[in-house]
Amino acid sequence: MVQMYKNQNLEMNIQNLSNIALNRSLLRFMANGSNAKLEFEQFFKENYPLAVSFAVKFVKDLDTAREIAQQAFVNLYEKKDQLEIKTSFKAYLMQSVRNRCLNHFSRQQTIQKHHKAILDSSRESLDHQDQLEYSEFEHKVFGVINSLPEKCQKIFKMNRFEGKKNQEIADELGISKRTVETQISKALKILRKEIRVNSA
Amino acid sequence: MYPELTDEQYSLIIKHLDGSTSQQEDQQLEAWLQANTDNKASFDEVKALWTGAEEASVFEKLDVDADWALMQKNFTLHASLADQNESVSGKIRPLRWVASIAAGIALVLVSYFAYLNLNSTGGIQEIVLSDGTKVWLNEGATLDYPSAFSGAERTVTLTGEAFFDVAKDEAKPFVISTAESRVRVLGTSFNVKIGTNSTEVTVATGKVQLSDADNVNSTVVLTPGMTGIHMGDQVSSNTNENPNFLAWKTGKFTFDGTSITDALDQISNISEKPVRLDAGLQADCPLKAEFEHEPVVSMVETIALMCGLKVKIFNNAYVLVKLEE
Repeated sequence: MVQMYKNQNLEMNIQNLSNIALNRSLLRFMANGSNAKLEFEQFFKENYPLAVSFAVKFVKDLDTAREIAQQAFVNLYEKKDQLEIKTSFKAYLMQSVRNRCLNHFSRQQTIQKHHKAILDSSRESLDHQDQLEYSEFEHKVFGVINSLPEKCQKIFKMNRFEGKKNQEIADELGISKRTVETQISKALKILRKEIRVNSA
Repeated sequence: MYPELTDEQYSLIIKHLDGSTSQQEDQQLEAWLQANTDNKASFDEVKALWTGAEEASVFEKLDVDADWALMQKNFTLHASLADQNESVSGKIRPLRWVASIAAGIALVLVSYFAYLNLNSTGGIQEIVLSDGTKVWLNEGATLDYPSAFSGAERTVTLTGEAFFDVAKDEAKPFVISTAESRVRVLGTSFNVKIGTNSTEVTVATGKVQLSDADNVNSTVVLTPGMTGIHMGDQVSSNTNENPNFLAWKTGKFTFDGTSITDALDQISNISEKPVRLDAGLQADCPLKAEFEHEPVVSMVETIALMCGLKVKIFNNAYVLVKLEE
């Protein structure tokens, strides 16, 4: 299913675009001027959610993923003067996140168990590039969910974020199951339309 | 690219994803999927959005601003620790050389007069000075003292933290000297903590005078239960808010209705790793507990348990965070 988006080659184009923007912000904060820290803050805020989401795919735990992502950012900031970034800055960041995730496993001395987990998840979506693209896809989905009409958004989040069944949501809100289904239809229709428009 | 679906088709797909289809509806869906490849592609697309939306919950749980603040806090902590290490090796040691040179001169002038240096690196050290004064040096502290006190005052030099139980001699005040501060006493017990920029004195018994090294007018007299702080040019005194100020020496912590933030700060004082609450976490959990010679980690675990939290090691600090739902 992820493959489907990749084959359309649209995700890739969007990523390339964002890389150009990222490299610009990188140049600004690498210049080490008086605004360096502000630029870094902006870079952090733009990329931190993605870095965490990417790390979660490996470590399967939100707090560990937060820690790993923060370490990767601190490391980038500390080393910004010595770095020679050959690819994109984001690619470097994500590589760093990935390496830290792998180090985390070896520290935990559960390499085999997690290696298996990584291999299993790899089979689903092939390689890390795909994992990253998938994180970006999820980030876009999240953006659209947050722009849904209030009632629709609430019901959709109860279902998807809180893992509630349609009947539970209906009981909790005192509405019919049919209404819940209608609102979820509406959310998916909008998602389908928006993600398509954004990609085109 | 794929044809828009009808409301009935959406309804069927959503029921299927929810796991609440009847057997008849399952067959209906199966037939529709088999009918043509576009149907299957549309179904896959909706299902991908459905799955993606579930995993997007990560973004909902993240508080980017809070984590930015947290990261900066850890980052500055890290940087200031590095600064401190530098000052230990780069600044204080030369001072000690000066002390040794001074001691060398003193040795020539008065034959029985010698300067000794005690450096507690491997834990707490206890020493009895020639006048009977007892000193407990916390880990990392250094005390310069003469083998015998001569002159009108008993003078020692301290870096780091120590507890003094000073032998009474009203004719000869006991003076603790640092680059910035003078602590002058007759006979008493008190704790001195020399930080990078500040000196902190907490009194257990008797009276202690804390003053600026260069300005004797800048001075406070401290009595039991008070803490004096010397920072910059300012010398001030407060009620001591930390009943556990001697925990580094006694190994005992007593919490009696203490807020979790204060308790963690107090433990942090003796801990190698900082101990704190997760940024933005409000925990209203007054503690009533006593610990005696407990490792930091087990105190922190116990407090977490008492407050329904859990302990994470986060950038080399113990952080109390919410239990996961």
